[in-house]
Amino acid sequence: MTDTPVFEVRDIRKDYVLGKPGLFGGKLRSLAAVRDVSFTLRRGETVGLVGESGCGKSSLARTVLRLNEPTGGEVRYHGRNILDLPKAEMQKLRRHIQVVFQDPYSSLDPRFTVRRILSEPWQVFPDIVPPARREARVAELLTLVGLNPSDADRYPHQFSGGQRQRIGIARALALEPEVIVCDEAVSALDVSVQAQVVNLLKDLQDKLGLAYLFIAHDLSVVRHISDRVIVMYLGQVVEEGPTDAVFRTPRHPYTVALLSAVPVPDPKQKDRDVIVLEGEVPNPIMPPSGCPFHPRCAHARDLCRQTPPPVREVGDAKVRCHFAGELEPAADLRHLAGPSEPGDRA
Amino acid sequence: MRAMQPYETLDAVPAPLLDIRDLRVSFDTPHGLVKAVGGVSWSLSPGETLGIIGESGSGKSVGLEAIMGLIKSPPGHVSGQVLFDGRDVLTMAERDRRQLRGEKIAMIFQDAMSALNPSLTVGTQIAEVYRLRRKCSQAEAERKAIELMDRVKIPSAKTRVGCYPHEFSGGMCQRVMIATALALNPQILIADEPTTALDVTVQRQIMTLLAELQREDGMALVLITHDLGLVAETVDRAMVMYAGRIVESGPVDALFETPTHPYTRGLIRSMPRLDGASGALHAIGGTPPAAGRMPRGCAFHPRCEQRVDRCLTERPNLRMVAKGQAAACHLAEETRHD
Repeated sequence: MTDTPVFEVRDIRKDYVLGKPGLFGGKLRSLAAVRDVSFTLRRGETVGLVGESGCGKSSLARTVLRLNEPTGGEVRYHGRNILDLPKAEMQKLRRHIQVVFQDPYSSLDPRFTVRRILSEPWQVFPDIVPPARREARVAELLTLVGLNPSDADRYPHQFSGGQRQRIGIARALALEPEVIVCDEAVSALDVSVQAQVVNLLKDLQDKLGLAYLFIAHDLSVVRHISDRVIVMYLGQVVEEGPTDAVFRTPRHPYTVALLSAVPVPDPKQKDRDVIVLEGEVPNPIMPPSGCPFHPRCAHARDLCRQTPPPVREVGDAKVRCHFAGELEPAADLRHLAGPSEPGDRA
Repeated sequence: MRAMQPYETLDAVPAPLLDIRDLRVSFDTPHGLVKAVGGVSWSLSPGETLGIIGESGSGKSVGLEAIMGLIKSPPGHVSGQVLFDGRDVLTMAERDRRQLRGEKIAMIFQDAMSALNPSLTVGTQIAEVYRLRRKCSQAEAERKAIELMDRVKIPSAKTRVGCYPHEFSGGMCQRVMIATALALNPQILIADEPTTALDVTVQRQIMTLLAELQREDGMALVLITHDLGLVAETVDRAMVMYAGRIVESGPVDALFETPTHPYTRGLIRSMPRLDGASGALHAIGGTPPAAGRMPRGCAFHPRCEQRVDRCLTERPNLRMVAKGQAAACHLAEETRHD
């Protein structure tokens, strides 16, 4: 891993305007889906992004890909702000930043053969692979993702979910990108197949030096694949740091609750104390005052209700909490600590 | 008769509430008859929590639908016995079966949002079965709906009883569905991936609620899921299904401590770990067979690393390998403590 930042996101913000002002004027209402999120992706690095429905992780993905225009902030690719680029320039740059979607059933055109699916990006970017080489390149790509070169003539419906996701990955690789945004790329797959695709993504990263923004709600998968991790709640980053640090000693009460709630495949740990968060994620149109997490936080005090917390640095992590580093986690987190190797006797 | 033998040895619990014997489900398709469930036997005691683990297409949901009498025939064919309190659900008149559903056995599904009727208020839906079966007034039904909403901890039940499903979040819709299922105090609740579509903290709320309800009512729970974590934390006993058959079953502690079928072992080892102790994930190669294209012999053999010649031709029966634990693998005894 070298230290060149390939991709930098600075204070990115995305507001959605809701409806028009009423008959009597009134203020335009808006929803801050992503609020001042920053992160850096280096070559060969994976940044994991976790959070629950509505926390803004998909909005963030769409915004950094410039599929949605951000309201503010910067997205730098090799130091160059891509948000200022005119449309034609942006179009050229897209080959470097690809995306793999969640649903391998709806993201591949059912009428196209795999050959056509993989060659189509070259219609837009003809310089990447000269026409004479394309046939061979399709075969290479298929081999790279663990399929057979002979699969090129088959249609998406002839493949299983895991195989289709491999095709989706091959298509992303066709343009030889440096950054791949994986938006819940393994979430729809069965456990045994999911492991294959996760291993494939890691192999490809080692071979090609790809940088991943890996968005998922499955915390164990994110733990496994990420070098750094970002935890979002209601559009904001509440905790960020090296994966090991965040998963071993989570500091933000929300991260603690999230990690505490994950079911652990080890019956010996089923009696551990688990935090059951009360209530649900608040409506982002009317976020709570002060710290957005305070209505559900066991540690909340008056300060939290009144003042939005600053980002504090605790060890290697950045935590958006007034009391970061001062709180004792209210849960039994031994399932995060050490291996007890269930089922490994075989 | 092949499947009778494991059944008798598997579950030595007296007087099971639900007793499934050699259940088979198949469907007529344009490509011929396709087997979805092939000879499954298990039983459930009062108040017990049983987990059924399996990936897409393993037959875990179809089997339960057959038990509930939800498989249409044609194209479906269901055979075997489903004994509830000694009476066979499969041969009884549709009227009696209806009586059983809701009253004795209720079911909740993965996608609560789409299982609810968007054009009826949640109160109406929760109390509908109660109103029809108990023949009570509208006012009485509404009172019952509010009571049930309180039980499943929907806040301000009195004001929200008139809300529509779209006004509820996914987690709240799942609570509504649970309330609907509880209306007639069933003895068995079948939960088919009840939290798969929910966020992890909401999943925790729902599972905590189900455990509480079970403690209060002594209801038996059948949890169908692909999530091994959920199984480890929730159930007493579990069955692992692959390609329409049970490949392993036993007390949940034993299943995780000494998984015996290579598929069970593979599943456990292919899960990334929250404590970061996993190196490269030990993925199971290949994919599960498509229904209608079942391999000969052991259905798992094309993906199995320890297969021998016998696995290609002869299907292993489920047999006891330890107290309460059974596995369908020719090499079960040899590979168990390797």
